[in-house]
Amino acid sequence: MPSTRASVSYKKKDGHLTLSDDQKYLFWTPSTPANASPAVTIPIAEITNLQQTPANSEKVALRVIVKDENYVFSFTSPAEARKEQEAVTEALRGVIAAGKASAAQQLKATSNGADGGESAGQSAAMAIAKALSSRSTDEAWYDDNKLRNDFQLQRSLLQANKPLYDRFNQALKDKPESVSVAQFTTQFWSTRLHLLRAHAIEKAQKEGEYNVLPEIKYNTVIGPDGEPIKTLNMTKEQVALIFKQYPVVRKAFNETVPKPFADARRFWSAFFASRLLKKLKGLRIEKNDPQDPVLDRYLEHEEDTGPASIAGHVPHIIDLEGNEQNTHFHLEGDYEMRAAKHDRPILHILNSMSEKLLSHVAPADGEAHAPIGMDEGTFEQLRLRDLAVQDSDNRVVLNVREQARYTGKQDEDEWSADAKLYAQQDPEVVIEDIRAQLQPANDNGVLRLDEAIGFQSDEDDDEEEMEDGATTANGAKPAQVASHKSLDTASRSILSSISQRRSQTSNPTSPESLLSGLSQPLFDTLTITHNTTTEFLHYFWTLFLSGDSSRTAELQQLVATLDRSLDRINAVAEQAEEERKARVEKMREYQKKTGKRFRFDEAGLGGGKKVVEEMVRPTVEALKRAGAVYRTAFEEQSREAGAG
Amino acid sequence: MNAIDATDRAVAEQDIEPPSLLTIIIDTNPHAWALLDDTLPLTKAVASLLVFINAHLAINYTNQVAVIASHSERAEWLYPTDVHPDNVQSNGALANGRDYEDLMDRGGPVQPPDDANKYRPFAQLEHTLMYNLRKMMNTTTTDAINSSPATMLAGALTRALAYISKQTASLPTATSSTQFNYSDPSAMAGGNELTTDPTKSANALGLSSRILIVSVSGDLADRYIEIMNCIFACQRMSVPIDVLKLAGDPVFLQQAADTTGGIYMSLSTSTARAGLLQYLMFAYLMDQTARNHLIAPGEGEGVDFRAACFCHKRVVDIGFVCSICLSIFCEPLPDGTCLLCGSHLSMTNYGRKPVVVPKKKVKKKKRPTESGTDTPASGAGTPMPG
Repeated sequence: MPSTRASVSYKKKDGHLTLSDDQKYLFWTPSTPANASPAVTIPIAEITNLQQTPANSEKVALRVIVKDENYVFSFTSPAEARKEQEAVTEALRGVIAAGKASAAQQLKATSNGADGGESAGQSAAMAIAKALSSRSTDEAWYDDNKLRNDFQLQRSLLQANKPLYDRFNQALKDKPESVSVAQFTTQFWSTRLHLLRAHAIEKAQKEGEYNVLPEIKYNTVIGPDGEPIKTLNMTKEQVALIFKQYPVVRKAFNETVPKPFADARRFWSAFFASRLLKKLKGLRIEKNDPQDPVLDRYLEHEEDTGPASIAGHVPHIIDLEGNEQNTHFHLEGDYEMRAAKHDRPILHILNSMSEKLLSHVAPADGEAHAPIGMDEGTFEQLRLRDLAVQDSDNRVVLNVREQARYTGKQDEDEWSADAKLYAQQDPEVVIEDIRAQLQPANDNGVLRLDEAIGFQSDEDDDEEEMEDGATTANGAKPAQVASHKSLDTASRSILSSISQRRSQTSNPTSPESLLSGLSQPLFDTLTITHNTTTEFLHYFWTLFLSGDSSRTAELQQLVATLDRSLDRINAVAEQAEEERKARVEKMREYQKKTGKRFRFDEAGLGGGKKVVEEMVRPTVEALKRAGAVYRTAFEEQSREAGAG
Repeated sequence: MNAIDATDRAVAEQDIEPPSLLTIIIDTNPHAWALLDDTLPLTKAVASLLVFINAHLAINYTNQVAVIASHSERAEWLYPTDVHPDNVQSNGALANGRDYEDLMDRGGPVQPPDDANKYRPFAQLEHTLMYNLRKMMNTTTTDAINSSPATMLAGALTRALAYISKQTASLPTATSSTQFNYSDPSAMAGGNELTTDPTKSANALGLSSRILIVSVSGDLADRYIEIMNCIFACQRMSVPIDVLKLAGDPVFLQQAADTTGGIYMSLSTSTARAGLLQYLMFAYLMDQTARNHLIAPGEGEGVDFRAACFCHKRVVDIGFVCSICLSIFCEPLPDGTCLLCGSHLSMTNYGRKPVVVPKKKVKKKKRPTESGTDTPASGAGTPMPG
């Protein structure tokens, strides 16, 4: 094949590059000795990247990257180096694309391994000399693929969620052999992405700031000499927080630590005894508080207001000061509410502290650049709405468009069973009959209801049929309207439905009624069997409907697994039957032993195969249906394949 | 002596039974009744209903009743007639011949013949109802009943709801704050405790309303959206929908009863249908106040929760749902645009034709590379907007 043969040098040795006939491998064969076997064999399916030298460069080379290794082939043909290189690249490109289409799954696994879990959607092999664009990690929890591949996150979720963990393990144990763990995990999580996302977000949350100074307290220990020793424990985070919340401390620290304080420890011990601390905490500074010439300098330091003070944004309607200025009445609020009392240092400190804490948090309800004052939206929010008489109608009207296109033409095949029956009737006759029936029975138009409903209070059941035969046209009837018999039947059916309802509602939480006679361990087994079965059904349908021809073998295995699930359910049923038999036996023995003749209600005992079957009936139905659908499709396509 | 002071009286006041409005929707699809003619003719069913209505009216003198016919091509009031509802009480003055004729012609309320054997309000109701039913059947053309196998249940439900709202509004209620603001989106979004609890009547001392649907025909899928809207409106207004199914496909009506906390019973055999009166009196007579203390009959299990698709009106087990507006479609949309909200939707590779036999020859030589990279991983592949 001349098109895919090129003379190249690899590791400074001349040779030539060929593509195998089945287009699965790329060979490099050294030119000396002649007829040498290929020295380098690269499976094309494993190529993750191709790089070439720029088109105008003198040197012509192709770099083939396979997993962690890479091979650099320099094209040596004096005249046609570039052309040959292009031909080889083109051929490889075609083969890789075709290979990817048929074996997307396998390729995905390898490519993911190669470029470090980058999104699988990215075509890895074909990005020639591409720049690795890094994705913003902020959006990580919105990206399905990222969640699907984040094993750490998945493990952490499994640990946090016990039922999920059990389910995962059980399903993993029962999975068909042909399904690899990686495939299974992908499938398992693909239906639970929302859980992963919630978990990721939950984990990403962190605690907000808190007022750090009051949290740092002295620990007083009685020393060996009987003197109390005060120790102070601070963490690194606390120091960072102090610096962040109190810029003046940072300033003091910066200016004083090498000199006059020798190290940080000295600084902090001085600081926690100083007047500055008291001021920052909003405590009153007493006369006999020890003076500190160094730190007291910072007492008068005026702090800058926080970066995003909320003060400017307070709408007048809830602004305390605004009320005093803008209204006639004097607001006699609480002690703290009065503006006059606001010179209390503690209140100022607390307020400014809260402001600062808030200003470090990204606002959830607006942006810092929003216009100061109240905009239309805020006003709408703050308006006293309950006094409003009426809200305008702001519903969104949705219309189904182009409906006629679908519903207009209706075939007779699509008619319901009722409609077909109706179509057999002659509308003329129907209408006439009804009209005739509705004509008043006697001249004055009074309906004798007791007669009209056909109920006769003193009739006998024997006479019933003869008497009623006269009033209605048709002779033999299965049931006479409003006869004693039919009314009795009605009563009975209503009463039975009531008692059925009652048994369901009376104590829905009592464990016995839920288990309906099964023992707890058996019930647990049944639950877990059911869970696994559901898991595999999910997997089956996903695979079945994916239309992926490369995974038919896997699908076949999965169907076998579904059949085994049926066996597992039957096994549980058998177990339940044995359990029940044992219980009945025990009762009998007890009866024999005591000699007491009492009747025990065998039916009321519950449990057994019947109960199990009743419980899992929908699951079994689902299994059967899945199997049937698969078999139908299999037969059909086998026939087609045979024919074609 | 303390036992008869004011506090006790206040408590006693709470125990007064609220007036109850019973709205009956009777499916009068002539075809369906013709099929039932052997076992339960329309006249007998109506007679049973009349007995039932009389019982309802007799329980409490403030009780009210309304009857709507859901006919083949229209929904029609049977009682009270909407022309001059006031005349029902006062038309003794109109009893001279000419006016009587006029009223007959206009289809207004008619004077029942005097009958000493019947309580006058009962006779009044019976006469109006029978008169209107007769008139409706006389004006029904054969074309009308052949045009559709369905019945105008959505229209009848809408009329019933409108009537209930009107009656509730006109009655001064003890708890005046129970009016729900439907146009306020914020009220819709949150859990308004007045409306979320279906067992607790929103109008505790006001009019308690319920709807009884006597249904004989199926084929409701054509009006799926309208019917479901009515059902959810009933749920919000705490109006239970009781359903008595005499024939036909039960889909949606069972959901209606289940959603609104009503009673659903299906009389599928002729024996059961013959006991219609007993079913009505036994299962459906108690009002909401009484139902709080009773265990309701009915088939609670196995509700058919299937929905009809918006495109072909087919009842579907598995369908496709627009991720934006939650509309239901029975098959992927041809142009990928949601019929309701117009969002552009795309499908992941779910719902393809299954391939179970490995292909020996790949006929299509190359598949486009982009689609090849898609993993058939997620069954819950959400159609993404974009």
